[in-house]
Amino acid sequence: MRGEFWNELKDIWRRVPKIAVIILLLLIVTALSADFLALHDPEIGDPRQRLLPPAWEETGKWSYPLGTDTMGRDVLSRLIYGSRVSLIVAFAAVIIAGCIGTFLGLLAGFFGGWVDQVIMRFTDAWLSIPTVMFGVLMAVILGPGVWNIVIILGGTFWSRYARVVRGETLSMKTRDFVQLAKIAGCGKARIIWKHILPNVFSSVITLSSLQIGIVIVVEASLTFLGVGVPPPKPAWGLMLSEGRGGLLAGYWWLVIFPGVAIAMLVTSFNVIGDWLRRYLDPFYRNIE
Amino acid sequence: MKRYIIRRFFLGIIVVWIVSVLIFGATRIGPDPALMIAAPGADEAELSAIRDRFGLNEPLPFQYAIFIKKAIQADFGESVYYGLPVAEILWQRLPASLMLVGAATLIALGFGISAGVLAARRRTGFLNNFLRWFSFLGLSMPNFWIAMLFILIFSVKLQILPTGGYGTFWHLLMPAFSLGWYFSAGYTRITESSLLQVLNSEYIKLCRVKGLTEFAVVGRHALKNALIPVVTLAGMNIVLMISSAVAIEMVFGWPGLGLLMYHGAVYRDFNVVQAVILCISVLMVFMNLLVDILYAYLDPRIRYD
Repeated sequence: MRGEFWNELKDIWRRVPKIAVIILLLLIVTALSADFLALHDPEIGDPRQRLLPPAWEETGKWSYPLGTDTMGRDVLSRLIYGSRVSLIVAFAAVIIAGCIGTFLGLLAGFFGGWVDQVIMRFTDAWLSIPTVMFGVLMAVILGPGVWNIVIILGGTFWSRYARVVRGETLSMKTRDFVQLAKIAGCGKARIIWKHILPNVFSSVITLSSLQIGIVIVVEASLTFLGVGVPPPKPAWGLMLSEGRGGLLAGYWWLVIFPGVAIAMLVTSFNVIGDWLRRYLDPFYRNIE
Repeated sequence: MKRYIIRRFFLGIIVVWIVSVLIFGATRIGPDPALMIAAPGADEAELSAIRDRFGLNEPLPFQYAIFIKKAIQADFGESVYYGLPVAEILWQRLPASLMLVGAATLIALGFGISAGVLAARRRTGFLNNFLRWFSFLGLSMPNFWIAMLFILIFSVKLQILPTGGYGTFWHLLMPAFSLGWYFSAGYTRITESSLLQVLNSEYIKLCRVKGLTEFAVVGRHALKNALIPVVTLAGMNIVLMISSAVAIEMVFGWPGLGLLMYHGAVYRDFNVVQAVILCISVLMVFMNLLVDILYAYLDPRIRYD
């Protein structure tokens, strides 16, 4: 039994995009063990150590490997804690969006008729509203805060799930096993829950892996615009917006490193998502 | 065909109506709008003056009815911050947005199509790999970060481009590239897949049998059909670009609709915010409609239901 499991794991490992998976795992481990990894407090700086360049520059210090910001906070420590914020927001938002979208998509696809019409017109409406702008508006109204951002992003990104799941449900409904379940006397809820949901699940996972990169970037944008995660919390978007002030003065390390962190995280999600799409969905059925 | 268009148009109107309810509702679910418009520490008299001025005393459905009645006549009320009619401000800001989006679209299309053609023709090689990673990177980097990197390289280090502002061709370069890069990846992917599909079709084989050069086959015959999905994608991306430019416009101080909307949100000028979001959503709905109709028209195999 054990050997079988390991063989299967090895088999999967042989096929995944390795660099992306390793980077992602490293970032997740970093986020989990931030308390042990960070050398300094991410929110309280040392005023005597303001604007130190990275350690390899002439005036840099090795106790602040990637330099310090205008308040004397260690850039590396803030990056490490920032991975926590990015990952929590992204995962929570995608889970909320996935649940809402999948639920509505199942309802629309299964019941059809006016239920379908109402849900899908709502979905169309949400899909036509500009995401970042609506996010800014909602963030201003709800006020800053990590969980407000999660709610806003979760409440915005469900529409694509609804559309994909509805399409999948429509095609599942005509399949023999669903018809047989109906004949066998299964209730509607049971058919949806036990027979259709497990079959649309792989599409939901694939879509999530493609969406999560976009969610991370949108969160960073909102935070950068000053309406997302509030200071002094260490979020990558916030570090970029603080670094923007020092851009023209040439404090490049305040701008480069947080951006590299975002790009690394998003790239690894995108590469894995791209791979998942081809692995789980060889015919590129529904997901663009 | 006619029935299909009428039906789609009708559905489009319904979607626009839902969008307007959502956007109107969004500005009303928060705390009292008068509190958000007023200066901090305003007393009750000032608050009630604001409520009177913006019609906030009426019941919500009535407020919505007035909002929608005026919006149909392109009257979005008055901007609190600028003291001008919102519609007028929108018209002032539109050219800057269109210029940015137009330039970014040209860049994204030019790059995306050439990379896509190259990818479809030759599946390996250094240039192809480089282009694939280039477009992949565009998808992964936040566009405002690209914008800041450009400033760091071209304005701070090399000192050849202005750090921000609006006016000349040189001001346009960095904002347009940072906006276009992200969208080029989509064009690369869709050009590649649709060109591959077209190159497999019978009429291309006939062109080959006829003995046309490779350049004539791909450039003159295949690309014409392969670009249909690219053009439709471009139609929708143009609308998307207006809204994804918010952070870029903020970094460069580019006076487009994104910056207008952002300042509107920060200064609690909700009439402006509502108007910008509503206009972009309506554009999106009708662009979708246009694309669907165009598709049905160009490809008779699509069923009209």
